[in-house]
Amino acid sequence: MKPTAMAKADFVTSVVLVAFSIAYIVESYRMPRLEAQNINPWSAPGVVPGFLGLILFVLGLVLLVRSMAKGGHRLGWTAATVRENVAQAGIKRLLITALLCLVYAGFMMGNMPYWLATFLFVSAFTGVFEWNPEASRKRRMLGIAIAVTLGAATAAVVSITFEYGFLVTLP
Amino acid sequence: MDNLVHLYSAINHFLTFESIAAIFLSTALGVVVGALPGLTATMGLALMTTLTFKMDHDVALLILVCTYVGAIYGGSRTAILINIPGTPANAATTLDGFPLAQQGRAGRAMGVATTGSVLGTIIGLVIMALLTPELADYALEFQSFEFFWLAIFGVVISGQLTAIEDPIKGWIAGFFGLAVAMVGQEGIHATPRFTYDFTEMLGGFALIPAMVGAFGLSEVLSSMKGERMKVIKMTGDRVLPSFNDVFQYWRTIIRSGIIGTGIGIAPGVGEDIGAWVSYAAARRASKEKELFGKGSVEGLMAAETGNNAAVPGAIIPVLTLGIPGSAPAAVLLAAMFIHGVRPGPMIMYEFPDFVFETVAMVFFATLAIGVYGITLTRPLLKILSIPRERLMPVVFVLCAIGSYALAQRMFDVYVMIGFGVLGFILREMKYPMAPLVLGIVLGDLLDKNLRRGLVLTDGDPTPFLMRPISAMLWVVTLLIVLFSIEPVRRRASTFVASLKPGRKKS
Repeated sequence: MKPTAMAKADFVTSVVLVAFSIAYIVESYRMPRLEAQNINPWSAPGVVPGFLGLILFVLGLVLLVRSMAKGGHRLGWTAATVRENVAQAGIKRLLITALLCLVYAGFMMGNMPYWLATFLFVSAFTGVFEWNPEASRKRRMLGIAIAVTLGAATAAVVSITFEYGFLVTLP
Repeated sequence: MDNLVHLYSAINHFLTFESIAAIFLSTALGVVVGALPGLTATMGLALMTTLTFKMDHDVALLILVCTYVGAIYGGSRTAILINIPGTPANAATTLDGFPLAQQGRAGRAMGVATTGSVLGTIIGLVIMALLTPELADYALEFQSFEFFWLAIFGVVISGQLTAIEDPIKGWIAGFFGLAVAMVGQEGIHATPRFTYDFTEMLGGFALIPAMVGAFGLSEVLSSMKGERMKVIKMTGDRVLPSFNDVFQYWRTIIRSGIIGTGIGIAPGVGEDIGAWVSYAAARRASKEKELFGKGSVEGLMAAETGNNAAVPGAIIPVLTLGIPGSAPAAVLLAAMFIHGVRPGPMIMYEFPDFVFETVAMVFFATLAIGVYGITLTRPLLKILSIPRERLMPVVFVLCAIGSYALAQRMFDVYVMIGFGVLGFILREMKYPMAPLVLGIVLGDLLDKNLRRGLVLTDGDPTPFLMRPISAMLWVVTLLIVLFSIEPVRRRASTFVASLKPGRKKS
């Protein structure tokens, strides 16, 4: 029987979850017991995290066993399958979106004027996704003009609204 | 009688120009958010919370309630016209709404959706007005033991109903949410947990940035990964709601309204399940079962009544127990805390007017969706045609600045990104988001009450198991878990069947 993609995904998730829950339990055990303060041991900070870690461990284990019963551990990942997946149009769009969003919110915001970061992000996002190399030059120029206008309008409206309307000190 | 006076004064309270403008603008915004695939009610509410945090509490919460009701209704437009539910709550609407549109009756379908949504909200509203004060009174009997089980029950039932095909994923999401809520200074001895000397983490992960990420960024990613929307076509038939539909399907409307409200009350379950359960019940009881899925007006009515009735239903436990009935209601709960309202068992003593003000808010939102059902159809089609390549970057800009604006720190932006990426991965692997959010909300409740209960009894679990409400909660929780295990369910049905008279025992 060939394992389904979901069985493989469940196998990977369950391994991560079991590892996470073990780490969570260990960290809970290592939490201060506050004996010096003479507290009731049942109110120690690690009690509830330990309890939750245990439940997550059991659930992870059930998922692990179930996914292995469905053959999920036979991942069959090769360089070729990874390349094939990444080449899909949807995955390409997803990776570009994730990259643009991470660069904007993770690096540009806070490291350059907010309006400039927002203008560059919105213009680049729209420009990249609406770019069609097969379209006529006039159409391509129109696309760029729309992206730049949208970027400028968003940067202006959002900056002014938050800075002067909600009195937020922009990053 | 007292309650009627409170309700009357609450309605009067909002009869000002400012409030009426807020009602119509925010409901319209909610309808647009709900109608645009990729923008959900939860995301709309989370973003609106960041945009209204400087306003007076009654206007801010009025805007949020109207956005909520509007979004759940607005999702029906997309479900009918392009077969894509605008919000998850409208998934059941596509089953009959889209076939009706294909038959050239899109206008009729939208009229039915409006009728169902308005009447569903009204039924939920009436139940909310009657039940909330009673439930708040009852909740006063809850002690640590009951609150502990309520948190566990909430996560389990939410996980079960939002991941019916694979409940273990719902439970994992819920308990993971509880685990996430443990980060930060704990509430009894103020000891930092899982903070690793990061000062920003002492306060834990703020709910609104986490939800903006889980429902905003992850929606942006999902939307850009998927295929483009098809071009929308609209026929010229009338969109006016018809009284005939109400008379013909009054039983379905009342049944779906009650079911939807009941499902809404269950912690973290929400509008989508309200619609599905109402739809299934309508199909079972219908005289025209064969039409379901092929353009049944009754099916559409049931789905839209059920999902909108779940909105007031989901607000009931927010007010009385401080536990959200759905993901958008979790945002509403967080917004209430931001604005200094403390929902919970004491609400009828601390903020008695607020309960009826909330009922009035839902009432005005219902009026507004009734108006928009007739007037907003064609302008909405123009908005729906905005390409995602232009809409999504603007949405993400709002996600980022909205997360930042609440506490004006970049840490919340990073929290938003983290939860966005995590939410996207979990969704792709079919883990529901509602139990995760519920877990984050209930973490503090569970933590304090388990430890307080254990301290009170010095570790003796008897009161956790034997007090009447506690016993009911843990027995139901256990049954839910047991019955989701296939062999147990099979054996139980065989056993029940063998008990029926006239059947031989095997």
